[in-house]
Amino acid sequence: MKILIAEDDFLILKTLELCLKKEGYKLICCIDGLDAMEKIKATSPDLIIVDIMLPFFSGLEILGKIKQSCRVPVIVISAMGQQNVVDEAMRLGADGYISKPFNIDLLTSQIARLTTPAVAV
Amino acid sequence: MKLISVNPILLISYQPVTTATRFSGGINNLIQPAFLYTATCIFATLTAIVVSETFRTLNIKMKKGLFKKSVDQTLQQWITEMIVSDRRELLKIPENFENLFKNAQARQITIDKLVQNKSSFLGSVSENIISLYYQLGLNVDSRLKLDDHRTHVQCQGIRELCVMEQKDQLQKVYRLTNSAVADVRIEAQSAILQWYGFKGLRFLDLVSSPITEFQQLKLLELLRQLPFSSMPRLSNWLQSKNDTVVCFALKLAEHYKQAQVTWEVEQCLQHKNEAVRVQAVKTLTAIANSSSTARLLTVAYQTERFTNRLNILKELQKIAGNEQRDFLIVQLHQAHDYLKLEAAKVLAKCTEDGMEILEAKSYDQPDPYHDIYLHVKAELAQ
Repeated sequence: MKILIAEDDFLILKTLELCLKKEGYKLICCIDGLDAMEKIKATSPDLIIVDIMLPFFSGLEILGKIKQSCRVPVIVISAMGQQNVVDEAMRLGADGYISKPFNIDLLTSQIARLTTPAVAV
Repeated sequence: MKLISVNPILLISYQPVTTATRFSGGINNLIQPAFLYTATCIFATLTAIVVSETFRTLNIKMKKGLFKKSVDQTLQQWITEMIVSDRRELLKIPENFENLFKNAQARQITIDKLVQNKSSFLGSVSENIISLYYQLGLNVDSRLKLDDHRTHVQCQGIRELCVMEQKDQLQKVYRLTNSAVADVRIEAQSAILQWYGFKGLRFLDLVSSPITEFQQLKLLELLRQLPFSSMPRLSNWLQSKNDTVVCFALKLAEHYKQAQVTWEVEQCLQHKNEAVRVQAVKTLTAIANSSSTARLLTVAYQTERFTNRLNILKELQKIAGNEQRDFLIVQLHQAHDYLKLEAAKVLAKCTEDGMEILEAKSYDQPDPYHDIYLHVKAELAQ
């Protein structure tokens, strides 16, 4: 399972990378929007985690472009108190969101929810 | 007529000392070779000092930048590994880092990194960050900053202790909520609220320095993100000797609809400070019974000054009814056009025959009532 993380804060990116690697995911890390767009095209990840505030392309721009072309699940990371941004992300088709500060367990449970195939009843 | 003859030789030899001659004399002195040589030496020396000082400063900055970068790279991986680890035992600092952590700048870089990361995570990662902060003894660095004489260092210390949840420093930080320095006060008050939520508002009991409008907004924003809990001391704050505390308490009552303090808010309508009276009007319309409040406001209006009269009329738009009709008709004849317009808006919006009254008035006395009528009509149509 390949997960692409786009986060401009290097320490947070590294922390997420280490935590999710422990869960057994393969990580592709990007530090800005441009890098993220290129890597999304090149690597076709199974899930994308994107921070709202990114240089070059914002998280919302990336989300909008992804949702126009494919159906990869996207989790958006926003700062606390940015409810309007979260609403906009959900309108653009985000599959989940977490607000900083967040619990890694919450993130991993969202990832599991979005990457586990639904069981047909 | 007798003409006085003047000897032309005398005229030539006489040279009055004017500013122009003094100036030319000064220039003559300045362009003396000896003076020019001295001036050139001084100028060259000054230029050399400025240039060398500039290079020295740039060099120091560059060295600091390079040092920061190298510490960043050295520590980044280790810090990340430490904060995501599951280990609970005491931390073992690698040998090559031991000397590094003796350097104040390296310690500060580490604190900055931990603070930054702590703001983004909860749960086990967050606990590990605090544990690392403790074990590296960085809490001592932050604590020492509280006693520094420089404002920005004190603020930085408070912020670090706040993010790292160092509640054992409550006493020191609490004292700083009433610091003489506004920035320190703001930081300390915010820290107390982040630690204790609504209970932290107890600092309002002792604050004698002003709480600025900006700080009031900041505190309200902080509280908005926290679970609400009752404010038993709200009525005391509404009677505080510090006018800014009263204003802030009124805003709290307004935002959290604290109807139990209606009487205290009503008393604030008579406050000596106009800013308090203005806020009291806003709070009262938000928390109290509409008809009795509207009556109260029309009474308060009589003794008010222009700003609060305008404010009262604006607030009446939310609560006025037919009972205020006569009062509003009287206000239509106020000298000030703003008051006339606001009264007309309330009349049109809150009374049954308000628009008819305005229309009739616009025929009787077109200037200024015709314009007012059209304005209100357009606003209602929106």
